[in-house]
Amino acid sequence: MKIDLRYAGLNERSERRLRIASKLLETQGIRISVEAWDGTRCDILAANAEDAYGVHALDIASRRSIKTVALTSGGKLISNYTNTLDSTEPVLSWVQMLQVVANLPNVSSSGIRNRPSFDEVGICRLGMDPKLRGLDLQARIGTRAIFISASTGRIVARDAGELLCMRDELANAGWEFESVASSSSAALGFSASLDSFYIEGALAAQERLPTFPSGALALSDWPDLGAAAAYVNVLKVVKALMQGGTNIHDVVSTTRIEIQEVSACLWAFAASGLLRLHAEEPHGEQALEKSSVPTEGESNTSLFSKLARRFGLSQQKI
Amino acid sequence: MKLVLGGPVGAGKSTAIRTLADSEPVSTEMPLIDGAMGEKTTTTVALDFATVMLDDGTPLFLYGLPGQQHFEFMYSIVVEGALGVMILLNGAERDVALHCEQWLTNVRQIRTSMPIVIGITHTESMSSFSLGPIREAIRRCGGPVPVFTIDARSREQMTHLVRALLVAM
Repeated sequence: MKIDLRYAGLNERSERRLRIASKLLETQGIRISVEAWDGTRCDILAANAEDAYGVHALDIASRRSIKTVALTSGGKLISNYTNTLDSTEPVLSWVQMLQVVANLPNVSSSGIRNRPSFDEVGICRLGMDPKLRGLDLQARIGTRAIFISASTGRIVARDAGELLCMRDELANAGWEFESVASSSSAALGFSASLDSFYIEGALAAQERLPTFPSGALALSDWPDLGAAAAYVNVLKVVKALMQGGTNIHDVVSTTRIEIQEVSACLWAFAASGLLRLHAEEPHGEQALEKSSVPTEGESNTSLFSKLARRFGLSQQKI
Repeated sequence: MKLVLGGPVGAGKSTAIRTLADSEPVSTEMPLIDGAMGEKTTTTVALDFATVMLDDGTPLFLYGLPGQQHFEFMYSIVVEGALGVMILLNGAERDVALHCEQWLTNVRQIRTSMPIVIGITHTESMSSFSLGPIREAIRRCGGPVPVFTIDARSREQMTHLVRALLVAM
């Protein structure tokens, strides 16, 4: 798969990060050519939203329906663009943003796989199989391996690139799991949040995952979502689940998030071992209780709404 | 309007405030008398203060509590009236779960219903870090409270922690 990525109005540092992020995606079999924008068509445009030339390029790209990433410095929130990125963020955030914008499929160097069945998909097996859910496991697919430590809430791999590759395989078949002791991860060098790993993998492949089964659900603990900061809607799903036993359709209704996205979140939480299945059904009042997160239709003058807007909570999903 | 950042020494509170602030924070950092603690060479001797501007010009004040115990007297004064408290803990410390329980208890003593989130820093360098004991501590203190592993230098991650606080309200 080849992507034509252009940039406009970037300083040297941002350009370097863009190139590194693109290079990292090559480990997943995706070739990204990175060139300065010359006004012609491309697949993705990354431009500085605080630079006149960058803004000009973003406007033209938007009119041509080209996917864009608007870069800011110091995290200044700019609401004109769907996809924004703080240029001071680590390279891994750049990689994640490119994946989201490009809507990259879970393709490895071996090519596109046929859609696997429900009980073959890696993350579905982890979420549903009681012999796997919430346990410490060594997980392999192809020649790659990671260590899943549900007991500590961490995922351990050889390096960051390996972790990204494995994350993008979560919606594929071919996984092998083996129960191991938690000390087995000592030989591997790179540790990250397990919950964020599952959430990012599930949401990136949401259109390929089966719908999460009906049934009463609840979360036992808040998932660790610090590293999954690009996914604002996940917070709303968590809030709905933390309010008490509910089901997928109630969560969709409460949060007004599409069922495909909610389902992906549920697969992630189930794989983490945080989702309690067949929880007690909520009482009537709880079932009708809405999420406290403000929506487009509510008053914009409230204090909470102002805070939510400032911190990007009431904006739509990326 | 104010948000308060609390937590033990070396958790990254001053860094977090600098990350979130719209302008350079007022800092009360002084060199450590006993020498550097790893990369940490200074400590907060009063409190950190910064401002975040909302879109209508209303300021949101950020207060960073000093982590040293002899400043505990100011906690209730600063926390009183806050919208919420962000507790930062150092994941590289052996007693991180104990610190978690202590800080949750301290805040709840000031106001039982105070919205709280927890950010655990320095986990990327700790292959032995475990979220399990921290989640157990949260349950003992009446949970649930959002707890994220974060990099206090990352504006995106700190912003996400604030979002979790707003959602948890």
